[in-house]
Amino acid sequence: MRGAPLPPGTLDDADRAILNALQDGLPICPHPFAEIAAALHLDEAELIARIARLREIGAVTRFGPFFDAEAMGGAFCLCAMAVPQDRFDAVVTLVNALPEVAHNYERAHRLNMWFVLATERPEGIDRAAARIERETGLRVLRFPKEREFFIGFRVAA
Amino acid sequence: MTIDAIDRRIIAATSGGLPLVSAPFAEVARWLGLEEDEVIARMAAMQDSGVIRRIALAPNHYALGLVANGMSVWDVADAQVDDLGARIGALDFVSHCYRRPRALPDWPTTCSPCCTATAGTRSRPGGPRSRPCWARPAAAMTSCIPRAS
Repeated sequence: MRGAPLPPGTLDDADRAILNALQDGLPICPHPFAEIAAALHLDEAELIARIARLREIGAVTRFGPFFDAEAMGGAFCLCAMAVPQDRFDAVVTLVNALPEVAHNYERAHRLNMWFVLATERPEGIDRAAARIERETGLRVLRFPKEREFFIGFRVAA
Repeated sequence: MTIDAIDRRIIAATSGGLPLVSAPFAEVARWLGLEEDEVIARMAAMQDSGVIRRIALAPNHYALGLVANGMSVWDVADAQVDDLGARIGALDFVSHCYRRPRALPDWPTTCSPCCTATAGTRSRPGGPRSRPCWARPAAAMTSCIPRAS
């Protein structure tokens, strides 16, 4: 994924309007792009072509449905570990080898590795965490979500 | 909501994205040997029940100029956590905010139910640094801490 800002001038006003409007969602109807295009005063074909370009240049990482694994019976859990610095890369390899690990970040804290487990069933979380503890000999702290206060972040393009 | 085998086929077919064509649901239907009406009805039902949060575009925050993200963890009194969590979540630079149980060894764990709020924030330059170890694109993931450059 592109990590650097796009060069100035890459996006015009219509691109920014598309990025802002489509973070909120596409209607589920036979011609959803035509509806959005009308609202943005664009041609349907132009809107589709612009979305494709925004994806190609890396302004968009994904376009499509966002599924809630928990609503389908799955589970997520934020986990943290305190990994000795001299073992860090080896532990990264062990942790990332598990298909249940959705993403994993090094952070500047005594608890220096933070990752999210995503499993199809709730009991899979403890199974995956136990396996990581077994393979690394390190404790995996589990911070399951108790309540969601907010998740609707939108970037203003 | 219970989803059936056909719903699962629709999820699998669209987890990589929705086709960029004038009639995307007709295209998905064509892939799966279904009718457009059925795909639309099933996806609408999944959205109503929350299985689909939304059909949308995920912008690349770094390409659009955000340069840092930081996760912060707070030890908040149980009596205040729900009020403060909602107020933190309402700040425009907070990307997501959850209440989570205490688990750190140096925090009391015997007095459960104890709570912490975790907020992932995205900010302009100067935010806490973090380095991605790895990220797997996960269609099911609707809120995750983005990779830092």
